[in-house]
Amino acid sequence: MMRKYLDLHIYSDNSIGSSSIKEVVDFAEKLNLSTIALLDYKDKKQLAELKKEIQGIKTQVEILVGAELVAGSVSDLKVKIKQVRDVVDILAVYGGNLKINRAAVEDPRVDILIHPEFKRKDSGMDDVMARLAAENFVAIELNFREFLHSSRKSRSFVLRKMKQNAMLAEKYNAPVIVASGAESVWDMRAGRELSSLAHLCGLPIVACIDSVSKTPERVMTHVKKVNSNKFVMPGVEIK
Amino acid sequence: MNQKSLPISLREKQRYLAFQIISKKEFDLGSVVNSIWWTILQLYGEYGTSKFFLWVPSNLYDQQNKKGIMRCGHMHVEDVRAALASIRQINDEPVIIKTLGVTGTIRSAKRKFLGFVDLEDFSK
Repeated sequence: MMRKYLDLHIYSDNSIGSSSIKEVVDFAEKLNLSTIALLDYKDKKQLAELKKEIQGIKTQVEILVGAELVAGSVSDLKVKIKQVRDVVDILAVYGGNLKINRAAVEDPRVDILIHPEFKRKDSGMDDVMARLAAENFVAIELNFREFLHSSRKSRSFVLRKMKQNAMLAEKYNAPVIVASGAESVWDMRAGRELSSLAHLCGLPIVACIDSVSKTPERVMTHVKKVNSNKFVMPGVEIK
Repeated sequence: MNQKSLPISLREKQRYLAFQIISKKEFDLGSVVNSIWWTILQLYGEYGTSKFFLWVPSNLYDQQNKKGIMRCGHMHVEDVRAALASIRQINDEPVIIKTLGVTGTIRSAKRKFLGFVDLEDFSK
């Protein structure tokens, strides 16, 4: 059976991206991706239009619509999660702020914490946060675009911070995913190429391949579980 | 006088990485090789690159189909794959380099990824 590769962080021109959904899907087909997630959600009206546009595209690639939450404070984040959780397939939180990173990994309704090290001098995560991410099944993202668009000194800093996050996640069994974070189709990469970033961050080869195949699939399964009416909190479900 | 080759047991084990360039334009071999070497040297430095046993054979690059084969040491396939993934442009044109697969011999790389099927083709 062919291994499935997933990229759960792409933008189209419906948000900050520069390529249309059709172009993104064409490239996903060329790169043998089985599932992509477009983090283009703005509001419910735009979501309906997005879903209509996606339905009109004939493709083998599964297209998910997700939301990227950019919050100024923890309370703001909680409000936004409550508003969005039930309407989108993937809920990602824009990391970088230490308090936001902590709040994201504490909340089982969050699926992905995007680049926790973004614009920070440290890695944006500590051992407690890695343990919480494992308990609440919040995936820590290694962002390929950050690696791709940096060079020399800044790239070495980015890799060092990602390496530390990957090490913490591996130690505490927190899920790690590698996603392209593509704003244009030329930022997209095939599954095995994305996984090579995890290799640069020091993960063993099996974990590298899982970071673009099994772990994102487990994230999607977790989403379905959290979105069901039976879910109360991790470990507690109504029969 | 040519140097005697090492016994097989002492030679570095090698792998052949087949790659495909996704782009709007075609590129000649020189541009592709320069871009690969420049990126790998930038990412790993001269010392790191020296361990990779890199070689891009000139006769195994198909300019029309934008496919090629490169050699590297068997312990460094993932490193080279990461470097190929980090190539964004060749001659100021945006590109994506996708690895098609890894083989242990040039012969199987030709057969699997470059579409060589006849015995005559293998002499090329």
